[in-house]
Amino acid sequence: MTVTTVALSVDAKPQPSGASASARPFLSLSGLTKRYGTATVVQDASLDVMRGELLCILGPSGCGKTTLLRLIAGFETADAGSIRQDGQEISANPPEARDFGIVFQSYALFPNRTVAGNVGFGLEILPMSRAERATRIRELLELVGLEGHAQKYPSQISGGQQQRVALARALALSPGLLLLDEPLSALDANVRASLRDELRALQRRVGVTSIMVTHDQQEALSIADRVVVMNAGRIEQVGAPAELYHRPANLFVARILGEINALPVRSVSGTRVESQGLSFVLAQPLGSEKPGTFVCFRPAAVMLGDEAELGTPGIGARVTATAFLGDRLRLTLLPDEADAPAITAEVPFPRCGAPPEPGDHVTFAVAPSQLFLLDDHG
Amino acid sequence: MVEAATAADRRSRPIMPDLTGAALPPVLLLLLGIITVLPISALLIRAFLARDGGFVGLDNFIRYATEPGLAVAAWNSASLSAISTVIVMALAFPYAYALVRTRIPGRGFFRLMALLPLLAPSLLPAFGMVFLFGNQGWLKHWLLGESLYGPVGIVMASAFYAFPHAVLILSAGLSAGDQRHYEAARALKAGPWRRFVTVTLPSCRYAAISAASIVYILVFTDFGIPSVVGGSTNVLATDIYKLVIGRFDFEMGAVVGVLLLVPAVIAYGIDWFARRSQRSMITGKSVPIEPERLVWRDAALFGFAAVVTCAILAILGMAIYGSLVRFWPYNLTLGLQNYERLFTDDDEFRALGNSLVLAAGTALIGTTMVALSGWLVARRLGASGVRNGLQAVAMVPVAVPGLVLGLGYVFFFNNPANPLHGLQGTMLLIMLCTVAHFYTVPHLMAVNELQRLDREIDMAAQALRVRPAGAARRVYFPVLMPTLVDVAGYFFVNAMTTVSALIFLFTAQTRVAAIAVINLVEGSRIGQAAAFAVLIMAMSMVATAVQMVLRGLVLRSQSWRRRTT
Repeated sequence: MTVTTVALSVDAKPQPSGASASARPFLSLSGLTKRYGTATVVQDASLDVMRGELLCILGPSGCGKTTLLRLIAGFETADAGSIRQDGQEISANPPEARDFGIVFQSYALFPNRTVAGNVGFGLEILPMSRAERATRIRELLELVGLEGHAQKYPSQISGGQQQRVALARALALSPGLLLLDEPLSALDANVRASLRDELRALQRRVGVTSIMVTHDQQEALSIADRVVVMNAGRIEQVGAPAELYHRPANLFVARILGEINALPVRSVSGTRVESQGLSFVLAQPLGSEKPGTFVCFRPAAVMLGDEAELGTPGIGARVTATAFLGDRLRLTLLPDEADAPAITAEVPFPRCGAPPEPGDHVTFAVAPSQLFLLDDHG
Repeated sequence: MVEAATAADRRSRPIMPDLTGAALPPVLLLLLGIITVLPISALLIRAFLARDGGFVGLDNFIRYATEPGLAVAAWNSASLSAISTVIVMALAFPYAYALVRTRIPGRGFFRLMALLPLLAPSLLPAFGMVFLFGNQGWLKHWLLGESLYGPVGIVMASAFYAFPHAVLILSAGLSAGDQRHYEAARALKAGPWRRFVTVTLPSCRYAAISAASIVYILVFTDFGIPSVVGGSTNVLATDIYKLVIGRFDFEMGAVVGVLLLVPAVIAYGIDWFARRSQRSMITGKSVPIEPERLVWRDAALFGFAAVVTCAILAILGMAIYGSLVRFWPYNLTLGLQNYERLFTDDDEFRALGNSLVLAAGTALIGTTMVALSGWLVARRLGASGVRNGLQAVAMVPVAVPGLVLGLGYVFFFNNPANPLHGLQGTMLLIMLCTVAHFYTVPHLMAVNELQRLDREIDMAAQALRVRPAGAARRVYFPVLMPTLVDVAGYFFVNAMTTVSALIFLFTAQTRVAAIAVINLVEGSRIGQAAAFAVLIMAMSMVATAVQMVLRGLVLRSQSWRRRTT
């Protein structure tokens, strides 16, 4: 995307300044609930979105994340709860009385209108001159790097370009809020990655408060200021990507952010955790909090080596499967202890020497700082 | 600067409830109900009432079954339709197979020839039959002493009339297979015959069921053919007319109406299930069929298709020839006097004008209603009672024979207690009846076309503060334009050729050409009748040509439909 330096007039809203602005959320949901018949799709969702931030709602399909987005847009009406945007209660307003732009997974471009006609669709019913409108459309197309495509039709441009048109169209009325419903999931993997980064850069530049729904944890972690994890209609945890990754509230959150080994806890004493024949050492003893029911660690937290290298008594295990991931190697380890479950490990591909192979015997350990105890739900 | 104006205007733009939008769905539902469901209900109720209006239960049906000569028509209709269906299926299956599963030369021509009879009233093949096999027909001896007038004529002309419908359904079913099934069968060492039996036949069985039920009910409910070549053989479709118009026996008319309606509803129910099952067999991942070449099979099918095409052309050609001879069969000099009479006789000329008025009016009203109901059902209305009601009411007419609908109109609109009583005898009522009669297919065409667009388009427009009506005007109706041209053509051609619903509704002032044909047959003026039928076909052809040109112009004006600039 060509980064233009023209004075963009995309966001007319004053930018936040200082602690007072950031203290008051731009969008505030409280106790939102939506039912279809007997099924509760969104349950008691409360959430504050700060001005200018990019928030990702992450969850498996059917968790209610898209419904939550549609409640914010007004395409659905909540059965309970309130939505305040910029200090106004908006939950009773129809979509056309709210202030947002939206981008859909399917692009939803108007097939009979050119790129410029799509971007200008919402501008056409405003009292502005033809020249003003043309200027505005040109600015928007420059913003998304589609200057040369104004007169093409949606069927004549690529999927990535179509999604940029949808983005420009959504920004045309300078909305206070940008909603993105799985905007990248219909694209090829490589286009998806590059458009993801462009989307992030553009959102920063324009400064529009944005909420993006996705089921791709990598997408959420890589571009969001904060991530909301949803499960079965409930918000499980809200936090910055690193916070969620390293301090998940429960096993569900831990799992959705990436693969994790979770072993049931037998007993905890001090820093020592016993689980199915294996014992682990925590970085610090548990305080007064209730110990979780699983001891968890990411595959990358596994270290291979002899006891001297590890600096801690290791666990003996046999390699049962390996997969080559380029710079890393993924191993399935079956500990020597009879009860113990298989462990997934990801280790750097050795720079010299032979990599482990199925049948090899290895010793592994998990860094105490990388261990956490979790319950399986919140 | 620009921005400041935009933001201010956006906030100041009034958000008002969309009143026309709110009123439109119930109003359209009411209108569709008045022209379809209510008249049919009036007929159903009438079947259970005595002449004085009292409820008599099944007495009318018992009288129908016991009165001599009445019930035999039901048996004739059922058996002759069954025989016609078997013959049509036997001819249409290999024909459709030749069209879509072989690469014989001239497939486009053969397809066109098979569809040609669609443009003619069902009476036209009957005339061709009369001139070929009638009492003075050239090929009368082919019937081995049997008379054309009666079961033989009804079956032959019906088969001709229903053939294009069967070919259409079967060729659609046969072209929807998956090439990979054939590759898999080949990999398992199945020969051509085994591939045909194990892959082709199962894949088109639902299309065959669908085609057979549609053919059966077309023949079962057709009025034109038995009125020309039926002779003394009574069938339900002609009986209902004689009972109501000849004997003013409205109770028996209503009973026959029910006897026509019930099998039609069952047949369309079967068709509906078959179509649904057929669709579920095709996945988005199917690989299109690539027909293989098999010399002997292809030669045989080419020969077959050529013979059938010759028969179609012979029958249509004979009808045209018959319309051109001076006085069949005594004076075979060729001339245009049969046509001249149509233009010089005031009554016949008025009928011709009426047909054009009816066809144009039906196309106008029908296309407008279809555009609205298609948009409302496909895009505007979410799952709601009104939407489901619209969709259900739009589906009703396909299963209702025209005769039943027409008689229902008589019962409903001739009732002095009906506030719409004033419509009785007007051309507007005939137009509405014709719109209702042919409503289902165009409605589905519009719904399907609009449903192909992304589901979220409405929401995208809403987020841009554009009202649904605005989105319809700026996106949906432009997208729908080519389909609406086809819809208008469909209404126009059907209004030109239909007879069934109208025979109960016309007056001396509103009589149309297709009805005039029946009257001319009744007056034994067969040459003029044939001339009229040919003229109707010619006008349908012109209308279809205009439709194709218009469609092309619309498509050309919509450059967004082309992938490359």
